[in-house]
Amino acid sequence: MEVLMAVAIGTLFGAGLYLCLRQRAFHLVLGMALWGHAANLLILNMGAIRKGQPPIITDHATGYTDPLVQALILTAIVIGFGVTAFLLVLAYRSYQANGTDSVNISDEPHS
Amino acid sequence: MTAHLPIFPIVWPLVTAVMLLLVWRHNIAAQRLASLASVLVLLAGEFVFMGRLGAGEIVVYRLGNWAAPFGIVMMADRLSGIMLLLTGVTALATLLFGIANMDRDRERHHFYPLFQLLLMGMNGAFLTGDIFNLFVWFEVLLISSYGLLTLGGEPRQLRAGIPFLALNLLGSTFFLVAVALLYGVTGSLNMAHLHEITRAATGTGATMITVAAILLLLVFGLKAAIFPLYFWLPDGYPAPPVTISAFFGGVATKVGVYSMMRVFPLVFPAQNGWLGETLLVLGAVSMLVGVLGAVCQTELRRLLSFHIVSQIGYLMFGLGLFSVASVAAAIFYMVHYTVVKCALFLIAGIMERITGQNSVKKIGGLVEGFPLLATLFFIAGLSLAGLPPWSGFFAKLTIVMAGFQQQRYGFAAVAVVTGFFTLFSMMKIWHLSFWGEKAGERRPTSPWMYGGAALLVSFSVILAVGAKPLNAVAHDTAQQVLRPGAYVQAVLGAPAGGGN
Repeated sequence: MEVLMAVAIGTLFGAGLYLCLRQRAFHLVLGMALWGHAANLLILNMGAIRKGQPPIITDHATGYTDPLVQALILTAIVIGFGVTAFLLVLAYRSYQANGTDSVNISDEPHS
Repeated sequence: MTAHLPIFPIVWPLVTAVMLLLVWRHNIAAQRLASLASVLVLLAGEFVFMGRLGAGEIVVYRLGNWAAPFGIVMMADRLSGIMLLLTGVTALATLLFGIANMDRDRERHHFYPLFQLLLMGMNGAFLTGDIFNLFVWFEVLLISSYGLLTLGGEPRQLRAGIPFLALNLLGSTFFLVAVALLYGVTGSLNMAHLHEITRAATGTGATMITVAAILLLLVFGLKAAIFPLYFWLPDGYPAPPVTISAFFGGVATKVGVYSMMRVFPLVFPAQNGWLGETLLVLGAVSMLVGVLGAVCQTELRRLLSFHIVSQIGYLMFGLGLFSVASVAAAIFYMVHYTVVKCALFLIAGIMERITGQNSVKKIGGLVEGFPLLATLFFIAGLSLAGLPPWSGFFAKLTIVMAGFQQQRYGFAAVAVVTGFFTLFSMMKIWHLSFWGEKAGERRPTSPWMYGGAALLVSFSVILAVGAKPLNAVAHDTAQQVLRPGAYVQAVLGAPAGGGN
């Protein structure tokens, strides 16, 4: 299971990096979203995966799974969602104002 | 009531921002007044707080009264207090300037609430004692700064906004990965608790902690704009209106520096050796690259933005040596340079307002007719370059002396050479824009704009006059930062419930 998760995290980071290097704003948004997922999965794995265990210790429980990582991921997801929404709007406004969705920053001659 | 003082700098700007949005949404005059009054109250609260912290007390505030290390703790020591006050003073000056200079549209579209939320995020970052919580405060301040950077939506702002946002998102991802690694190895997120665990870590655990340290160096380096992670700054900071770029230029990068000062000695005590060496090299390159970039710029605020990179290099130099004397020098330098840099941005804003130009080549002869402006620039410019008797001299002197004490002559020499080039580029502005033929228009300004700049310049003069006692405070602060024993004990040792 952990190997599978490691492969998934690596794939997400790799695909995200590929998209971010495309110099197009829309690809950038998608790449960033993939990175967010990769980081969240990594946090989940860092809490160690234990199947079939409750997140809360009761008198009958024989073991427990770490509930904190899920709380961390929830926070990260909410933040990531907000920022991605903002980035989408920004990319669209930039496309309208500049007529291109290139993210190349040195397209304006500085005097 | 005073028991809750540690969260006052976070809650107060939030309350203000909500009030601005709900009550005075359509009344700009009320928004201005309320913002100013709110920052004044904030400053008063921070002064009272600093009184306690300055005496050496380490204040712990347990949110929800959960015992550490299980709940989130807010922490404050001298360094937090200094950063809070510094941010408050800079915010006051920037607001004074902004009231006169910000255009109507941006004021109507929530400049003031966004500014308060940015303040809240910064204050939160200065006060937290939990590494995941630090990530959250970073996001709070970043989201407000995205808003401020692109507020108004001019093509140049949008163009600068996307890389700024993308890089910071990348930084946030790295931050999350670093937190995940730390949590996976140590099972804790409380920085004081982490200090205990990482010190004793061996084998694979120690390797993972080293990886987390490298990632956090990247994250904080990106926020602080050190070489080679500075390239977004000279494009990003000049894009929004002066008021916003002044506040960014003054304080925003310092959050990264503060985080390094806080996290590296506390969470990575075993890694300080090579972290320090890395910071020294990166700092030296930042100093040179930044100042050389500034020398060949002609656009006022772009020139000043390059100087940020080189000044951050000095801070890395002081921090990288990791001795009490050098970190004390870095803290004093940080206070001096935040104030002076923000003042220079505001002065540049006045110059742009008067002449309607933003290039030093198209501005000329300002010394005639604007003696106050010339005086302010003269003091701030020489102070940035490090000439006596201004505050920059004492700041640079202590940093170079710390370098000599530890026989790092090469790095100290780089610092001195950078000072020379800084002087050169300040003189360039002086010669082209204040002396010479009259160039550019002459438009009316407002005394409020001068008020903001003069407040900061006089603060810098106070730093110079009181250099000796203030250096002693910086020394005590550095001792607290580098010997976190008392900090750890304050969080973990005290019985639960002490926060309320």
